[in-house]
Amino acid sequence: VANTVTAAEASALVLPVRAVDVEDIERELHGILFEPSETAETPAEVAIRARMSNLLVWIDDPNDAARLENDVGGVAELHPSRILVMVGGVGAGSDLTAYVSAICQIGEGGRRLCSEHVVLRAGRGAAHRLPSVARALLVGDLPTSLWWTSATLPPAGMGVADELLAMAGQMIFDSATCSAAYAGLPAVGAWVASLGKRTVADLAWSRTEPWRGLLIRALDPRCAPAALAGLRAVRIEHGAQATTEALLLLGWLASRLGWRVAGERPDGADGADRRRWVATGPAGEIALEARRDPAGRAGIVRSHFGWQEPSGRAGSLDVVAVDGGRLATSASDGGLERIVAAPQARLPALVAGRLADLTVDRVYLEALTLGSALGRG
Amino acid sequence: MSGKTGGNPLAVGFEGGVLAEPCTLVILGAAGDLTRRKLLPALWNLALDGMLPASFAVVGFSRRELSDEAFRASARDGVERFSRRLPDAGAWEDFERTLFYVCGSFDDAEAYRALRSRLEATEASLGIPGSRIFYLSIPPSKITTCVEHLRAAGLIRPATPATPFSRVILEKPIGRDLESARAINDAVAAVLDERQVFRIDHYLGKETVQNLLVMRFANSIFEPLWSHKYIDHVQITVAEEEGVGSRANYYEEAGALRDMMQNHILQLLCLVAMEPPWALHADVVRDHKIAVLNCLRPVPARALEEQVVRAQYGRGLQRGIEVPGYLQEERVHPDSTTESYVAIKAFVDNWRWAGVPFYLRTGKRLPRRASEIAVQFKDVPQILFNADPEALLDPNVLVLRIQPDEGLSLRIATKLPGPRVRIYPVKMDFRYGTTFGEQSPEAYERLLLDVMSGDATLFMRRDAVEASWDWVTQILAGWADGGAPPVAQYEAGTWGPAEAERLIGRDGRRWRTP
Repeated sequence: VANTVTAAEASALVLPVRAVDVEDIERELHGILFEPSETAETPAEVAIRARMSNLLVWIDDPNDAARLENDVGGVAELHPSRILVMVGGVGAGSDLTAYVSAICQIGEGGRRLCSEHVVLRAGRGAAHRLPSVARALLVGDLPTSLWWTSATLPPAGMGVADELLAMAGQMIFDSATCSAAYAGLPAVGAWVASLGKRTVADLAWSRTEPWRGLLIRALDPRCAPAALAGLRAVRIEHGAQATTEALLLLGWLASRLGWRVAGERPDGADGADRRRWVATGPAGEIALEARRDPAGRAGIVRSHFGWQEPSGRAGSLDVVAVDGGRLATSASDGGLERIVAAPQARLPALVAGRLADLTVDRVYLEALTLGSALGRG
Repeated sequence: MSGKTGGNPLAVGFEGGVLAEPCTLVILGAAGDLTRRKLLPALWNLALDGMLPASFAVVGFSRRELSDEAFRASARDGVERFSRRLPDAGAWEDFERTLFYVCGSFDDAEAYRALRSRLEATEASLGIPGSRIFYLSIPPSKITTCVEHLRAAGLIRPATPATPFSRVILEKPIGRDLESARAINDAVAAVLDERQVFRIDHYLGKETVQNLLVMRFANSIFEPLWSHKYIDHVQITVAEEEGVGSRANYYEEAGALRDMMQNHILQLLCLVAMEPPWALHADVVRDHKIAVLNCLRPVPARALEEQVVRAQYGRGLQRGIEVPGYLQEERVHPDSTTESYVAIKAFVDNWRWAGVPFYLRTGKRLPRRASEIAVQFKDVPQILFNADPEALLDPNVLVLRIQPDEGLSLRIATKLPGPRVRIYPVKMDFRYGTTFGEQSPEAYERLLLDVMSGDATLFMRRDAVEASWDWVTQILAGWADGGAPPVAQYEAGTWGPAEAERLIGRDGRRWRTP
């Protein structure tokens, strides 16, 4: 699901990693940035410590730690932060090891603009110690966000997750990794509801932004006067791991346009890869459909919107994802074929974008509620 | 439904930025430098970010004979040279398909009819509902003719919610004094409702200028201090390193007072001095800004010597390189008295700012390019740490850097480590580039997007333009009367004439080094 950054694409400079004692982390971080090193040749290499946030990153599979390493660097480049990566389940023992480094951009005049980077690796017997280490390393007066990279939502009553959540004002997660099937979104909805007033940032929702932006513009009443009021059919086609994106997009349309999800059509489920529902809106019934192509490209790949104008004339808009982060639209009258830029952000940019936005996204919450209703069938 | 969503329920709460309305942007004077350097690169960046409307086109209009293809090639050249992001294969082709060009003279009614035909055909083929923005990148003397022709050709529609919109963007300078500004505004008002007019000042699109309101009104620590009770004075500097260069024809007619002070600097002054607006709606913010301009103390001829210095740069060394003086520049009249530098001591006569001088200065061929607002707080009482009259403490200064190196800094006094009590001034410094890393969008990106979405907050209203001209025209009139001090001289590569030092020095203060 994650559109990650490879080592070859990574552009940040990562200073040499030092293995350190847990109690020395703060001092070692200072040393890495501000004490002259043997390799520093000129005063231009002096570092500037940059912190916009505390970013706690939870990784429960040690194999993911290596995969996400470049993405964490990418986040630091876009949103300089004090980053604490916590890797749980590193073996069955009770070892807790710490590593410090800095992720730097090279600015004007060779200045290094650096995010502090701490990695804590804990065996299963030491995972419970991680929150206390993190708590001591949080920088005051900065927003704190928790990026939950796990493929499962934090289980209820998981002490470590609860403690980390208590430190964070914002929870970043990806409902697409937590819910591969249509029926999985309701569990996400219930979990988000349990978080109360904490800001929630769902990366799957962020990935729908280019689609939403395009649909807002293409279905705007000033361009397609009867489209929104007369919508009768919506179909979303998507790749294997984008079921939640499809449901969130449908939920967004339903919530914005005042539709009520009447339920799944009797012939609604067609294996695991196709679901159909009926919604009712101010102007009548709307047929909704989501189709998954397990072998298809990632994300939402195609959408269809059909409407009926007051004159009875039918209209439609089809949108297809094409290469190069672009979306191609074509309308029923044949006169409106257009390709527009709709850049899909890579994983670091998605996370950095959410870190910079600490507001409660009510539009998402409403989309999630109705998307969950669709997932329930 | 909010007006900003244009009746589109999907747009409510969209987090992806400002939503531009479907429209055609018509650039009159499209063969000029501004189009290639600023407007097209800005539009290209908006396209790359997916911020342009789904239905959108650009139509260039100018006297120069160009085909659509040549206009597109010129656009590409401009983007390659001046954009923060370069063209890439697929996206550029999509973008350039929306660029069109019509050749015609601004004085020729037939040319406007040809423009209309081309617009209608383009709108029909691209599904644009007929909403149009006319960017008048033309000399002020042509504005009246141009808007009258636009009306006569039926290109401008009245402002009603039910019909596609017509908006006009006017570039500064709007006139060269109060009378000519009024004449232009009257001509525009005869054709357009004020809500359709967007007077652009690109300074107001800069992130740091927008941050001024956030800094003042989103932080509780500043506002209680923001008055004559705690502020000693304010300095606003807009320094240019370049000389008059290729703009001599224009500059000879304008000078620093018209070119910079009447618009950029007075707008900055408004943002520093305005009362808290009760909402961020365009007219509320602009009402509060005009209130500042209305409180500017007039500078009559008898006060010119005391409050205003004008000067021209002479030969000098700029970063070690010898540069000519103003009078030696190409196309500058050898007897020219046009000022390349102006410094003014201004007062905002209201309760908040009673007695607080605002020292304003701008000039060409100063040591480096720098725009900043410096708010200097009053001295602490001369007891305790400030008891030595021979070594007074440096007062606190809050500096808002607009360009380059955007950010803000605060100078505070602190104790040097050691057994003795030694006070030392240190600077707390916030830099946009250091903290946020990302490249900020260019001012024109934000401003064009605002016009497309109908948000006039960052544009100047007629009353503000005329109020600022009113204040400036009095100074111009004083100079024209001949009783004012002659144009002073300063060496290129220095911070201005000795007369400017005396202007502020008489008050026991000195200019900052930005």
